[in-house]
Amino acid sequence: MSTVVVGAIGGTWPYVIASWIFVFGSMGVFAAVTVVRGRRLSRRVPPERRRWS
Amino acid sequence: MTIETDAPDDVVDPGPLTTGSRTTAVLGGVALVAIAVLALFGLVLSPADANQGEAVRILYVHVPSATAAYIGCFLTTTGSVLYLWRRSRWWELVAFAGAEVATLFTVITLVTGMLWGRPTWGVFWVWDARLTSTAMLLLLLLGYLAVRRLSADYEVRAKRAAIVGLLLVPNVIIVRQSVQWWRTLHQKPTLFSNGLDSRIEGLMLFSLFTGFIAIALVFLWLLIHRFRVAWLAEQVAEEGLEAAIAERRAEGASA
Repeated sequence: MSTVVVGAIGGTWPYVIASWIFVFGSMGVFAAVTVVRGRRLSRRVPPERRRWS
Repeated sequence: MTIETDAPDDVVDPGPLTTGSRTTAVLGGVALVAIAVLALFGLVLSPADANQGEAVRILYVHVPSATAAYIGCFLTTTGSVLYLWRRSRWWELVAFAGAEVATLFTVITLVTGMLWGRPTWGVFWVWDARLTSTAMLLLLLLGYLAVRRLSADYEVRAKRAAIVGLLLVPNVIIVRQSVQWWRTLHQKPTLFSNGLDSRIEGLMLFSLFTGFIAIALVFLWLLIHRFRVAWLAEQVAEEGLEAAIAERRAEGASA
């Protein structure tokens, strides 16, 4: 069992996992920052100027 | 049965207090499903490559991210042309949003490329034509974003940024063709290198296409939200300017 786990963690898997975490982590951070900025700015703009469809 | 409320008839609908809408909610939901499918096929079901081993799984997110960066650059150049030609504010904001999202995807491309290069080539970075031209593309995008923020006057900064934005698509062509024009360590295109023929097939090809769909959906979602934030920021700046002008006029009238 432990051999399987070590085998899975070693080799190229750490690079694969790091890549995927970086890709979706950075997208998530960008999305969160954008949504929070949008919420903050929305309060300062009259409703007729922010009608999204 | 009717429900009576005490709310007066003239209550103003405050509208959405976010940049989200029904369209982006659906788009976001579909994108999350696509990411889950991508993770299932890209990390679990697809086999390891005969030459690259497990590192091939990085390419399922690396290649679509690079494509998303190119599309963002294309939008920025298109928006820049249309701003310079027709002074379209809408297109200028598309260009700006496209540049910011393209910057994100260019950084992702470079980082995932480095993480793929280490187990495959033995190094994180080489001054290869593809890698160097991609790094130059990132610098150009950062330059665009910096110029876009330099001046307080909208017309001035939009015009200057649009001129920088014109350089993006020519740079993307250099990045794309670099593996054909120069001898590089970076491999030649895997897809469509010879007409419609691909050098991968089966579950690996399916995983790569799932990656294209998932990343494209995320790209679109981010682009729409970023455009709306840019739109709101312009509205706030415009209102601030109008208020300042009104204040000056009032001061002038009372003097």
